[in-house]
Amino acid sequence: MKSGVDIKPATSEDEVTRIGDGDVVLSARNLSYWYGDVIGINDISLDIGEGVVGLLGPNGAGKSTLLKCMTGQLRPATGSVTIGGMAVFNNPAVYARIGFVPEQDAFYEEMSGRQFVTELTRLHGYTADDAAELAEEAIEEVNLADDAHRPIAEYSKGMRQRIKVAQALAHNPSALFFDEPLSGTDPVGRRRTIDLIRTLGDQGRTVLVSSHVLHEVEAMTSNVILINRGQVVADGNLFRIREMIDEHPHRIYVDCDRPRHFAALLAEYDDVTTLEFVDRGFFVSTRDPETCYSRIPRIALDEQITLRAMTSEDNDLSAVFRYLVP
Amino acid sequence: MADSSNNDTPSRQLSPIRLGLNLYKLDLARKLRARKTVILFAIQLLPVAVALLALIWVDLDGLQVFEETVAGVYLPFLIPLAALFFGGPTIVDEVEGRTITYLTLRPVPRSILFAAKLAASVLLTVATSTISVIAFYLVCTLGGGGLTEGLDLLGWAAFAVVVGAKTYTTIFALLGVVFASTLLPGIVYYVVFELIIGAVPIVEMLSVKFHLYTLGGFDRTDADDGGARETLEQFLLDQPLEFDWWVGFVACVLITAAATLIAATVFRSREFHV
Repeated sequence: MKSGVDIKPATSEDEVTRIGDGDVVLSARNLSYWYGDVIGINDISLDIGEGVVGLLGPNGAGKSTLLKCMTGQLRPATGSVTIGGMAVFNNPAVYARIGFVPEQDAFYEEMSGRQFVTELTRLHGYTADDAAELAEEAIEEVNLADDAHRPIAEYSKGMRQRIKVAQALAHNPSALFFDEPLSGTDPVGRRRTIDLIRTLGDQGRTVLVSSHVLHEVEAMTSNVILINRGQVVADGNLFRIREMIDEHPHRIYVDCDRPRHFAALLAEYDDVTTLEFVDRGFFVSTRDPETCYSRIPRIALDEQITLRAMTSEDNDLSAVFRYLVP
Repeated sequence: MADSSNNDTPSRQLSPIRLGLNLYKLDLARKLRARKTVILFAIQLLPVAVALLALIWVDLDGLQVFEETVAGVYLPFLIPLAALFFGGPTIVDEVEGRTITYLTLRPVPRSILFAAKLAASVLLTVATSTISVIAFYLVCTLGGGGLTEGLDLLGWAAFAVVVGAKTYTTIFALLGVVFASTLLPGIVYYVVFELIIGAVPIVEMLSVKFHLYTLGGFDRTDADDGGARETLEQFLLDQPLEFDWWVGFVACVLITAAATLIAATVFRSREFHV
């Protein structure tokens, strides 16, 4: 069983990914799901404890399918999922203890935010008064109190995201699942949601958050599961992902006003291996990305070169998947 | 699993009946506010409006018009239409609106969830249809026949309408659950079972319409365009099929029970890709 302290590729089919703190809350064994001939997830085994765990992967990697299997929305073709030792699919006892923030932008549009959360909380077995009180607290937590009386149809994308979070929180669940919770949120809403997710994790709840954006997850947790093509390709600590990115050669695109002059200056450094000119700038390949990334703006500043852009396909999550999946 | 709930979190009752009632109230309130309900109610009241207009120009035998309209318009057309509009979307609306996730992830057993939503749909179909039939009766009696003389007829008509509304709504809800679509399966069912099969002697017993005529005591040959049907009946049988009213009632109850059971069973294991 993996320790979950360092990022490492999942190599053996029999291995169980162990991540999160404390006791195991959520357990999946040999989980597979197929959409006809298309693979959704394939033979995933996981043990997840308390705290926030990021589920990272590119679009179409199988994150949503995995979350849906874990929350009992989909019945796995093979394998099993348990939460608190109980099988999940079609089990009201489990649903009473979990909260789910779906990715889809779907609501009872005619309702106000307050009504929406209250009515859905009532379906957790609370009286009308208790549900209203719990809904109010959840709405406060997501900072929507001032707009809770307005119809959801009038909400901005960010507000809609937050009301989805409120309906998942109101009944005080022990385990929470967020499917791309920051999609469409403004910077302030994003910050608040991130803080809220961290707080929920600090409270000892199990919080699983899916995202395809590395820095979003980075802001919430350092515990991650990397998933690609329906399989867990690595798990562990996010800081190690950053190191992995930096350990591999990078090809950086530099868009500037005097590319040949700039390239000549960069060519003097030992870590620079190749230079390739294109329309508005050039590509520089380096064996020491971290140093090179800080060197480029510094030289531009010293030489008064207008640096319009500096990007690299190797400096994001998709690059990690290229390293991990040959 | 760690219990992260706050100590001051109120207690809750996870009784399926209570949860089902909460969902039933929620669904009914939403449906009552929906524009679709108003439109459908207006359609149901069309015969009432037509009768009111007819009263101005024509002398009507009110009770005869009432009986013929119930048998020829309400039972074969308006009741199935209302049921299609309210019953079909019982689950389909939640799937198409992608809000089904919110419901299936509540601790409401799936069969209770379906039953609660079906109950709300049935109530609306029954209410809009029955109100319309009663209003139509009142208008017809203005044209002659007397308000109290036809009460017996009204009672049987209302009975047939209530049972028909309940049966059709359940059938369309079942079709919605099985095919995850409302309109096309509903129309195909209606054309095949109620129009085609319902017009063929003996096998017409497979249609709901047959049993509604039986329990309401209506003459089926009056209701349909009778030429072809009468010829067929004379060819196959010495006399038309006739049963006591309770046979029609029991048949409708059995159809409703079977459709509910099948729909709840299918819904219980259904996955929703939303």
